[in-house]
Amino acid sequence: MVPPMSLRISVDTGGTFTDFVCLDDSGEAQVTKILSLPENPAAAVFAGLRQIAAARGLPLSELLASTTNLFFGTTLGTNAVLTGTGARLGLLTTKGFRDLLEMRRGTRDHLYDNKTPPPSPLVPRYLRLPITERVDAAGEVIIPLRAEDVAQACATLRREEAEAVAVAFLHAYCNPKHEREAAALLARLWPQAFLSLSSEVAPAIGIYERTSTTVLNAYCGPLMQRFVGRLQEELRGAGFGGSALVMQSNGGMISPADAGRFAARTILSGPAAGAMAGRALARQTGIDTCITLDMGGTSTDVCLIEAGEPIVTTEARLGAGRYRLNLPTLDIHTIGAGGGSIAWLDRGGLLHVGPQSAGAQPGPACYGRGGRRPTVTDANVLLGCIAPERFFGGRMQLDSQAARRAIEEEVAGALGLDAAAAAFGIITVVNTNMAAAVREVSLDRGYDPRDFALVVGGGAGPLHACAVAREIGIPRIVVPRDASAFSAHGMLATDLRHDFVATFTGPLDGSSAKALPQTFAELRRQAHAQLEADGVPESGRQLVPSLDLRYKGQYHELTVPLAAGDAESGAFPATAGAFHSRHEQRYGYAVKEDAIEIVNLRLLAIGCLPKTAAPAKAARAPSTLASPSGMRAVYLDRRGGFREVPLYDGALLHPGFTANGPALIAQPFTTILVAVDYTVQVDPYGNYLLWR
Amino acid sequence: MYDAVTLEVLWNRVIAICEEQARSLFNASFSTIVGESEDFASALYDARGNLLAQAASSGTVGMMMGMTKGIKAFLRKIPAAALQPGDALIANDPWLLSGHKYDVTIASPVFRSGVLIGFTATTLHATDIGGIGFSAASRQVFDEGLTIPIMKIVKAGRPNEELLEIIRENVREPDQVIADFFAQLAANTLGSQKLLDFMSDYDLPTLEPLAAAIVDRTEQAMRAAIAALPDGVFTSTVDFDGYEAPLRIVATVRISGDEMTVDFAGTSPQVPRGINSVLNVTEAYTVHAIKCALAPDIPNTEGTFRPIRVLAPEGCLLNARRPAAVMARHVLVLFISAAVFGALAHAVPEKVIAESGHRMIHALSGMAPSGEPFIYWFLVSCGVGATAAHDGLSGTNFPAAVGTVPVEMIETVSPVFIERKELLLDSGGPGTFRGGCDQEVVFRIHSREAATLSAMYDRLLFPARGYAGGGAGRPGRFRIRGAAGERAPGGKERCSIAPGETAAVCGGGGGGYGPAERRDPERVRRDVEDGLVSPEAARAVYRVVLDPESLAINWQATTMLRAQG
Repeated sequence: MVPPMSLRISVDTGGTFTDFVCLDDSGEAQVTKILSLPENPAAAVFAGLRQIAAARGLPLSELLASTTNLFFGTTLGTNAVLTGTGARLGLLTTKGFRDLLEMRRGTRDHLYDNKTPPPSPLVPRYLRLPITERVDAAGEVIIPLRAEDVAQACATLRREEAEAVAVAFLHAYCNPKHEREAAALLARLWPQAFLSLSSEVAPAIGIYERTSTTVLNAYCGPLMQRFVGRLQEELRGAGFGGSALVMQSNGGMISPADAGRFAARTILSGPAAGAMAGRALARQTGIDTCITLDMGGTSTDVCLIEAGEPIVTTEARLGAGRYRLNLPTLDIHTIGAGGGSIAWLDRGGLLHVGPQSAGAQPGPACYGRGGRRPTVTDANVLLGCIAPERFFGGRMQLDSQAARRAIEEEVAGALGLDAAAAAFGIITVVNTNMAAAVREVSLDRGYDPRDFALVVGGGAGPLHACAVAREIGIPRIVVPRDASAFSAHGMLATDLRHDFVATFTGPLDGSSAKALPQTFAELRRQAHAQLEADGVPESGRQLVPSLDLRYKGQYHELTVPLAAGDAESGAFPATAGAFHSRHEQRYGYAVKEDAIEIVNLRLLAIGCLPKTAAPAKAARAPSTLASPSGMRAVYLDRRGGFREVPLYDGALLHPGFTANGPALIAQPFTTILVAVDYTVQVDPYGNYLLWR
Repeated sequence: MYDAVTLEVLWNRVIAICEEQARSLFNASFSTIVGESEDFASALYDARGNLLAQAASSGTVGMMMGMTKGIKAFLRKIPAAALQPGDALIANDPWLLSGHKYDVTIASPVFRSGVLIGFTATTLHATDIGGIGFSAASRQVFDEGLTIPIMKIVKAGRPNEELLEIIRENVREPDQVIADFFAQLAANTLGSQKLLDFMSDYDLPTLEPLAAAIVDRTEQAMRAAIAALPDGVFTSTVDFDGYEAPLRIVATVRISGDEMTVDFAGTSPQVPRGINSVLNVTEAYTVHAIKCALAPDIPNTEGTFRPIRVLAPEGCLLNARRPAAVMARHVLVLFISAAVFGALAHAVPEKVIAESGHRMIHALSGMAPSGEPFIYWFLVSCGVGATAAHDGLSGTNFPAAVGTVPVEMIETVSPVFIERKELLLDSGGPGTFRGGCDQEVVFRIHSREAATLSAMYDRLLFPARGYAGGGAGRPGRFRIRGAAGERAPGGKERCSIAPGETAAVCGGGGGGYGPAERRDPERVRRDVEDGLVSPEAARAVYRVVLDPESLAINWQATTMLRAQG
C-alpha cells in the first residue's frame, strides 16, 4: 500500500480572490483561485479546500486527514481597519492623558493642507476612560492604581456594549504593574471582554505609538479570535488533525490562539507573505538580495530582501486614519498602483495614475461593468499587452473598445496625443511610480537597487517588470512560476516567529555587562515558554538577539544583530563596529569617537517548520522547446508603435526554454512582457529569469 | 521642452532625492527638535540657485522660503567662480535666510566634470546658538547669539576648523550643535551624489531647463488658481497680545486677473523685543496661507511665489529693520496666516479656515536633580480653526507642521514631569463646524532650585475668531500654581518656577465656522457625550436640548428653541 501523502496547504484571503497552494511530498504545487467571501471568509476557505480535494479525487475529509499544516494569510485585520468595521472598544488611560490617541503627535501630515478633516480615533472620547494611577520614567509608582476607577470603567464599557478593552498607561513599558492589576480586575469583573495591554502588545517607549498599537490590537482582536476559532472548530470537525498557523506582518507564523490575542501582529499578513515568497524564491534561485514587487488590482507592495532576509520596521501606518502600528513589521512599501489604478490629469495638465482605483466594481472600463475612467488595465488592453480573450484564464471577456473610449475621452484629447500614445503615457507613469517605490525601499535606505534582482509577482506585475527594472537600472528579473498566487506560495516557506522587546537605557560599554545579560535571560525565558507552547522541540528553536543603538544624544536608532554569545556575556566586541558601518551605510557617515547608547533589547524567536523543496527539472533538448502559439500586435514604444510580437503559452514552456524579447508569455492569471532588449529563460523550477 | 510624461518622471526623481536627503538628516540628527518635531528642511537647486524641488514631508514654512531666498544670497556673496568641489557654505543670518539665528542653512555646491551644476541644501533648527537662549525677551539681534555670516564651513573637503571653534565656544551644547552640522553635510553629500546619478541616468547636461519647466508649470497652475478668484480688494485686521502691548497686523489683498498683491501697510511698527519678522518669513507665511487656500495640491516651487507680491513697510513688525530682535518670530507667524485668510474669506469663504489657537513654545532651564544644568524646550499644541465643511483639528499645530515631543520622551530626557495633557471642555469655537479643541498641559520641573520658564505665548488676551458667524475659540491660558496659590504671568515673561510648583499652559481653541445654532444636533450630542461641549453650552450656544440622563436629543424642544432665533 502506498503510504499516505502528507500535504501542506496555504490559503491567502485577499480582497477579491482567495488563493490556495497545495504542496505534496514531492514538492509539486497545485494552485487554485476562487472569489473571496468577505462576509464569511471561513466559507471561502472550505470552498477552496473542496476544489483541491476534488482535483485530487478525494473527499474533503481525506484531504484534510492527510494535511499536516494549514497556513492562513488574511486581510481580516487590514480590512477591519480600512472599512472601520472592527470591534467596539474602550481604552483605559492614565488619568489626565485620555486624548493622546486623538491628538497623536500634534501635527498635520501635509504642510499645505488646511482642509482635511480630523482623522477619527478608533476609540471615541467617551469610551476613553481615565484611571487614577501614575508611574514615572524610572518605573517608580507615583500614584497607585485606583481599583474603583477600573471597576467603574468596566461598568461603563459593559453598559456601552463594548466587546474589547485596550489598556495603555504611561511608562508601562518599564513597569507593567498597573496594567496587569487593571487586567486582573477586568478579567474578574468581565471575563468575556477581549483585553489588550500595551505592556504585552508593544512594550516600547512612545505613548502615542504604543497606545495606537494596543488599540489596533483590541480593534481587530475579537474578529480575528472569532475567525480562527470558528475555522479551527470546523477544520477539526471536517477531519483535520494537523496544525493550523496564521501569517504575521513580521514574516513568520503564529498559532491561531496567539493570532487572536495579538491580532495586531497579523494586520499586514498578506503583503508579508508576498515578501516571504520573494525570500523563498531568492533562496531557490540562489539570489539572496532582491526586491520583491507584488502588483495586484489596487496596490503594489515592494519589499527589500538583504542577505536573504526582508528588512523590518516598527513604523508602519495603516488606513486612511494613518494609525500607527509600532510592531516589527516587514518593511513593505505599498503604493496605489495596480491594474485598476485610474489615470487623470491635474489642473496643470500633468498626467497622474492612481492612487484611486476602479477596484473590482465597477472595475476598469474594459470590464464592461459601467467603469468609464481609464485604468492601467485599459491601457494594457489598448496596447495589445493583454489578450482580451485570455483574461483571467479566459473566464472574463474584456471590451477593448470601452478601454479605448475611456482613454481617448479622459486623457488623449487633453494631452493632444493619439490613444495609443496616451495609453503608453499611462503605463510610463505607473511604471515610474513603481520605480519610485523601489527606490524608496532601496536608495532611501542606503541600498543601491542595481545590486538587487527584481522579483515580480501579482496578477498585474509581470507586464511591467522589464520597464520598472530598466527605469532603475536593475539588471535581473525573476518572475515566479505561479506569480499570481505569489503570497500563498510565500507562506509555505516560513517559520514561527515571535518578537520580544525590552526597553533598556544605558551605554554600549562594559558598564551594562551585568544588567544586560539578565534582561536578555528574561527575554529568552519568555521566548522558550512561547515556543514550548507552540510545541516546537528545543532542536527546532533559534533565538536571534539584537540591540537598538544610537549615538549618544541622537534621536533615532538602528537595530544591530549581536554576535553569538554576546547576549549571554554582556560583552560586545564587534557590535560598535557593526553599528558604525551600518550608520555609515544608511546615513553616509559614522562618528567613531562618539559614545553609543542602547535603547532597546530585542530577541527574535524562531520555531522552524518543515519545508518541502520544489523539485528541479532537467532542461530539455533544444528541439523540444516550444514555439510561439501566435503573434500579437503590441505597442512597445513611441518610436516603433505597434509591432508583431510572438505570444507563447506558458503552460507549454519547459526548463531551458530561452527566447529574446520582444515576446509575450501568457499564464492562466497573468502575462509576462519580455521587452525588446531582454532575454527570458525558464529555470529548472519553472520560474522565468529575465536579463538584459 | 519636456512632454508631460517625461516631466512627471524627472520631477518625481528630484523630489525623491530631496526626500532621501531629508530622511538621512532626520534619522541621523542629534537634536530633539529635528528628531521629534521635524523642524528641518531639505531642497535642491540649479546652478543659478533656482529651486528644483524640496522635501514636502517635513519642515517649517519659514525655512523653506528662507532657504530658497538664501541660496541666491549665497551666490551673490560667493559667486560660482569662487566655489570648488568639496566646498560647503553655511549661514544663519535672519535677514538673508529664515528669520532667526537658530535656523542654520548649509548648502553644498554640486560639480560635474568640474562645472557647477547645482546645490543641495538643508536647514535645521540648532539645539542652541548662544546669546540669552530661546526667548522672546531679546531687545536686539545681538542678544540672540552668534551670527554666522555666509562663509565656507568646508573648503575643498577640509572642515573650516577656525569657524567650528568659534561656534563651539559660543553655544551651550557644542557637541550636539556641531554633530548636527555634520549630519547636514552628510545629507547634502548624499543628495549631491544622487543628483549626479540622476543627471547621468537621464543624460541631462544641466538642470536649468528642468528647473525652468518645473517652475513654469507651477506658476501656471498658481496663476490659474488666482484667476479663478473674483477681482477685488479685500482687507482684514488681526490683533494679538504682543509683548508689552497688543499689536496689529493689517493685510490688504488685491486680486487682479492672475496676480495677487498682499500689502501689510497699517501693521504695527517693529518692537524692541524678539517677536519681529523679516520679509522672507512674512512672504513665506503669506504664500503658505494662499497656497493652503487655493492650491494645496501643486508642488511648492518658486513658480508658486511668482504671481504673488508681498509688500510690508520697512520698519513694521513684518519687515523689521536691523538690528531688530527676531528670535521668537514664530509667535507672530500664526497672525500672518490669520490676516491673509481673513482677507481671502471675503472672496472665497469656503477655502479658508477660521482663526487658530497659538502653539505655545517655552524654553526651560535650571539645575537638574543630578546637579547638571539643563536647557530644554517643548511646544504645546492648540485648536485649529474650522472650515466651511469640517470641524477644526484638536491639539494640533498650525500653520507649521511640526510635531510635539511625546510625554514619555520628555520625561525620560528632561527633568520635566507632566501631570496632565488633555483636551479642554468648551474650548473649541462654536459654529456649524466647531473649532478644534484646545488642550491643557500641566507640568512640574524636577529641579534643585527654582527653574526658569521663558514663555513665548500669545492668544492669552485675543482668542481665535470664528468665521461666517462662528464663535471664537477659548483664549489660551498660563498659570503657575503652588502652595502660595495661583498666579497668572504674562505671555512673554521669563518666570521662576519653584520646586513643587506647576505650570499650566493652553494655547487656545480654534474659531468656529458658521452659526452655532445651525450645527447638526447629532454632532452637538456627540460632543456633549464626548465631554467636549457642556450640556449648558449645547443649550445656550448651540440651542440643542438634550435629555440630562440619556443625552438623547429632544427634537421638539430643540426645534422650538432654534425657531426663537
